[in-house]
Amino acid sequence: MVKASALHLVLVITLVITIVLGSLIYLHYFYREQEQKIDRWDALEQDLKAGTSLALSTYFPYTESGDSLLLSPITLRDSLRIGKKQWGFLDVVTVYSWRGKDTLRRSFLAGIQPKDSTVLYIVDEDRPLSISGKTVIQGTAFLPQSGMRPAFVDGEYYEGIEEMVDGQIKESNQSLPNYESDRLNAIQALYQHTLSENSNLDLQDIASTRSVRHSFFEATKYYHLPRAAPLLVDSIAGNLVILADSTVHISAQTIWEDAIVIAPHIKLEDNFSGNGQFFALDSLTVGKNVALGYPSILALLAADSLNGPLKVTIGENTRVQGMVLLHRADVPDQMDLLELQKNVTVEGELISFGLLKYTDPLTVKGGLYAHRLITQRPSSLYENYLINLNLERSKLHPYYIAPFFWTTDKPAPQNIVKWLD
Amino acid sequence: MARLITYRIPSLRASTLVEVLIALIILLSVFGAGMLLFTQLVNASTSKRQTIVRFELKQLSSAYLAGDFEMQETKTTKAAAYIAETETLALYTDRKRVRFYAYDIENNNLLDSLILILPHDDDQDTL
Repeated sequence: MVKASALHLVLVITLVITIVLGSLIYLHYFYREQEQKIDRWDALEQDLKAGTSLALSTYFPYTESGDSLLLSPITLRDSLRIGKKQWGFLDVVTVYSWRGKDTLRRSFLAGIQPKDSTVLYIVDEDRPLSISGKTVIQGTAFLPQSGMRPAFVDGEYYEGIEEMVDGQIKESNQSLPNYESDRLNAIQALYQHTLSENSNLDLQDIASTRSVRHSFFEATKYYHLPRAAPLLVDSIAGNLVILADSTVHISAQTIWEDAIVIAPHIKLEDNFSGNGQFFALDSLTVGKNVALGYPSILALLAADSLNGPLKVTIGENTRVQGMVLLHRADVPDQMDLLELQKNVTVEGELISFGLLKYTDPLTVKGGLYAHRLITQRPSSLYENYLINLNLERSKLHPYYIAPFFWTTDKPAPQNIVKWLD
Repeated sequence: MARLITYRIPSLRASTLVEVLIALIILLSVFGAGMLLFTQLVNASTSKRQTIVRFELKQLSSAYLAGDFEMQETKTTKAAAYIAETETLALYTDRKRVRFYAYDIENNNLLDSLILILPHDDDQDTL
């Protein structure tokens, strides 16, 4: 017997309809939610881009203690936080933008967009330069007033273009151009302050760890290396500063990324490869076949109180993308020495506030700045001779962003060197 | 004598009027509630035009960055009319704020906008 129970039937149909309708509505709700999420992320992305652009402004102040909270220039809400700190010769910037529970963040290293085309700067010591062999100079050259002339070296005459310089020739001064001494002082001060007894920084011992990695979104970690010993760590990466009392010996097996080391003596072993900033205070030795990727800085920051001459040595076939610097504020008569062995390539700046001793061939894709050049040939020692040098400004990568070093009349535009984390 | 076999036709009980009425009310209320919710959702979600305007604003900003769209230029599409204006930021004088506006020409009201913070043009050139 079939019961004619319309109510039962209706209830079943209603249930089915409710389920179908409910799922349709849920589907719609789900898609709307997703769309809103994408819109929110879009807005956050815009905020993030605006924050990045603001942080790269020359007028954006450094935020050494905590990040600065900004009114977003787009939404006019408190939804943007920017941190900008000095990181050796570069700046490290972190940008956060948030709305509700969604947060987007990014961090990057910033530097200066090179505006000049200087390829060679030799301080005017009232003596001319000589050029010989297959030397190529492309870019703006700042030469002593007495100029440059072709010369014979070991029976070899200059083979190159008649003008000698493929670019402008300008007169150099009796010292290297002005530079940002604040940054150099800050690095020296950080070293002295951190290792002094009244430092409130939490120094950790690196010997107990095999691999250290630290994000730039967190506070910088400082490690202390009390003894002169090889750095037996597999990898060192990120927001780390290593301070040593004496020598730091970095082996070729160590993976190095972005971290800073400040020590009296630094030695990079043969075949080492990585990128980072290495600040020595007394001597710096780089082995053979070392590859320092962009952005790297090799610097010897000599204090005026130290008696010279101090020495930086860079081994054969070494390649540096970034800056090689030998600095002393007051250049003494007995100048410090930056020695480059055979076949060294520098993409960026090679700066010596003293002598620059090279063994040909030497390739500089960028700028070479020195007080005086010397080179040892079997016959004799040549001073201010450019023999088989390859100095080409146009070969510098078009997106190369330089570290903060030279000061410019007009504030130089800043740009992103590298994305982090 | 043959037995007369009578088959009983199964009896169908008709629904009462009350039953039918209650069923109708339930069905109608479920449909009604469903439609109500649906219209609310449709009204709250982004319209096709809004999506198009947002997309075209993004396109315009990319065209501006590529140098294909100038200030004081007006661009009109089926969806809206677009203009851009720029101003220097007070605190950061090497940065400018570029706003792109989308207008509804018929009703003359603002539909959407997009803001970019960019470095000034003279800072863009490289070597």
